Amino acid sequence: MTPAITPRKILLAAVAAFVLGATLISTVQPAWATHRFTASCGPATPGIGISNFSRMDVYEYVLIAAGEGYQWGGGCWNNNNRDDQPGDPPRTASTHGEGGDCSGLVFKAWRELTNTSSTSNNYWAIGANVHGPYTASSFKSGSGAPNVTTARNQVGFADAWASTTHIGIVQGTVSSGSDVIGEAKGEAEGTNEWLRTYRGSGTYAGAGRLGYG
Amino acid sequence: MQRQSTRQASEERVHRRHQLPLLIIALVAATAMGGTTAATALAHARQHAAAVAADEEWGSIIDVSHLPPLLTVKGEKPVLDYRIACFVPGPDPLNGPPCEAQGDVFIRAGQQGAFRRLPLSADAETPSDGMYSVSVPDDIAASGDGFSYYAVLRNADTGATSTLPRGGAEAPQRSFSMGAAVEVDLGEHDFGAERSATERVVAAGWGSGPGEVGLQTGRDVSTVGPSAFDVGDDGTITVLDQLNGRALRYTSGSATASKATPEEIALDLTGGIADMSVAKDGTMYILEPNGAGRGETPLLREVAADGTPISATNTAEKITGPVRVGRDGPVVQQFPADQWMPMGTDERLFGLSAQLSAARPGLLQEDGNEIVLLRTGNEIRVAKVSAQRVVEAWRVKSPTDVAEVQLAEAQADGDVVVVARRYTEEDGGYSVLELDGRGIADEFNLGLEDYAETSALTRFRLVGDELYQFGSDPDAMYVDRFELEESR
Repeated sequence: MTPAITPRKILLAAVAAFVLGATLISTVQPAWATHRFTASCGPATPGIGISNFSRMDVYEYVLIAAGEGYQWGGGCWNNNNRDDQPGDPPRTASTHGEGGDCSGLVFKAWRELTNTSSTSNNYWAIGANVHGPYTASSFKSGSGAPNVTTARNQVGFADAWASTTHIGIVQGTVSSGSDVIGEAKGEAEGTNEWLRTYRGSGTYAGAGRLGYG
Repeated sequence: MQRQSTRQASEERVHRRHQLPLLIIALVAATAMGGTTAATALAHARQHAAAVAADEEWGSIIDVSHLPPLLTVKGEKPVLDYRIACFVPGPDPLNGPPCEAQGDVFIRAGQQGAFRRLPLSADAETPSDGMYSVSVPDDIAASGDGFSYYAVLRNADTGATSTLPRGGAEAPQRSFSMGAAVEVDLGEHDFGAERSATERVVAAGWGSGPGEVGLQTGRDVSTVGPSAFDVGDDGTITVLDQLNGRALRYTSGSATASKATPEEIALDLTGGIADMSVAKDGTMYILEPNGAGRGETPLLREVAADGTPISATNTAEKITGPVRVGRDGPVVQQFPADQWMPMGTDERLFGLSAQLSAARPGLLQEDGNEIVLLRTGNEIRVAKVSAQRVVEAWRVKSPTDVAEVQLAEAQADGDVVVVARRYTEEDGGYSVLELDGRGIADEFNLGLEDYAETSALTRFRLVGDELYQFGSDPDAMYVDRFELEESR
């Protein structure tokens, strides 16, 4: 008599398959799950309304973002001082990696609302997956109620330098006169603080935020 | 019995035929469940670990920035300002109560002797800017030998501390009295009145083919080209074409720029905006913008002329300025210390302690002097320092706003060449100054030529009496040569 496929054999096979599946996923999981970083992030709304904030608050927000990743169209990040998904294909939001992009970082650091008509202050946790409605070009032109253009020789601490394609926040100045800029620079660099010469560049203009405390 | 066995066998075949699909379904479901369960568990574990690590880190973070008064003039009363960022651990320290920062400055007249302890005070005018200050005592500020100092800053809530500069008493920050500085008054910058190049020595179109250089453009990304260049004493030009993962070497004596075909040296780089300097033997020192691992500082790579990696070391500080190959080996200007730190010799690269312990405020020149530089407002202060004293100094004042000083280096005849960017709301350009003991020996203007971004302070190189500018426009990258000529 041919042995039957008994319930016991089915159960044993299922257990073996379960273990096999878990083992396979454990092996390949780093590559797969790192490109779902945003799945671990919080919602894009509503944020936390706050009465005021200071330039130092902006500085500290960018300080914590430094060392984290860059995600075009992003986003959200943690505070592990590491770009968890370096070198993703550039200029695509579909990689869902860690980090904001340049304009997304400024939006969150400047505590702005997605409502472009409002100048109210809104705190976004670093883990809240929100980019905001502005591009670098928006900030450069002072588009949106909370955003202003700033004379180049008045750009200071926690203001920003913006071109039509990029924006970074002034974190300080050094002895040579260069600015220390906090920025989400790109996949190759991530988000960090670097010396930049945007101040005297014809490509960049001064940008600011109304309502620093 | 036989009829019954046949029926049984038939029933068993039917039964197995139904069981097989069920078995397959069960196996697939079990595999998927196993994978999903494992992935979820791993994700939760990683998030938990990250959350624990993040909580532990918040309280240890103490970030300090400080612009040192490297060069002072008689009668000035310097104030030492420190911006201190720290956090109180909690549900979200970025939206929590401010931390209480404290600090002390240890300061002395001159460059030797015991330090005096002075406590920092919160800036009463702008308490929310995280600024803490102390005035330099009059007796120390008046010292003809300048003064030296370091600070120890603290998060009073958690006890975390940070020393700036990190070399502390062994390598404090140094401020020098300029003494009888030569005063130079620049007029308003004449934008558009620019000197033509003596020669365009290199030109390369955008692309990845032979003789081309990489260009990054696009929405919400910077326009970035080759990030650095250097010029050897023999006129050899090396361009860091990091977007194409290579260096391009244009040998002196090549045909004219339009026909020059560079040697391509393949490099293993991140592709980020890096700085580079080349030693006399062709060894390339490439300063990458980030390290490779958790919280790592920028990485200096030592690469042989043929592209073979030799060594690498992380910088001591998190923010870096230029890398230069000095008399004793590669040096990098590092921040927040605002000091030039030696990175090694031609035999080995240095680790953390060796960088910190030999830090100095100025760039060491071939003749053993330091060039110390400070842009303060619209004034550029430059001093030649020997044996911890200023031997020659200049105060260059500009009615046009000054951005950064790209280059301040000494020539063999003792003159100092300064290249500074000046700007208005509508325009920008470079002022090139050759300074001697009486003031300006030569002066001319140059255009920005900055279509594509490079590393911050790598637009110019000085080789003897020749100044090289690294420029670009929408069509090409190029290197122009200008002969410096004394006008008196």
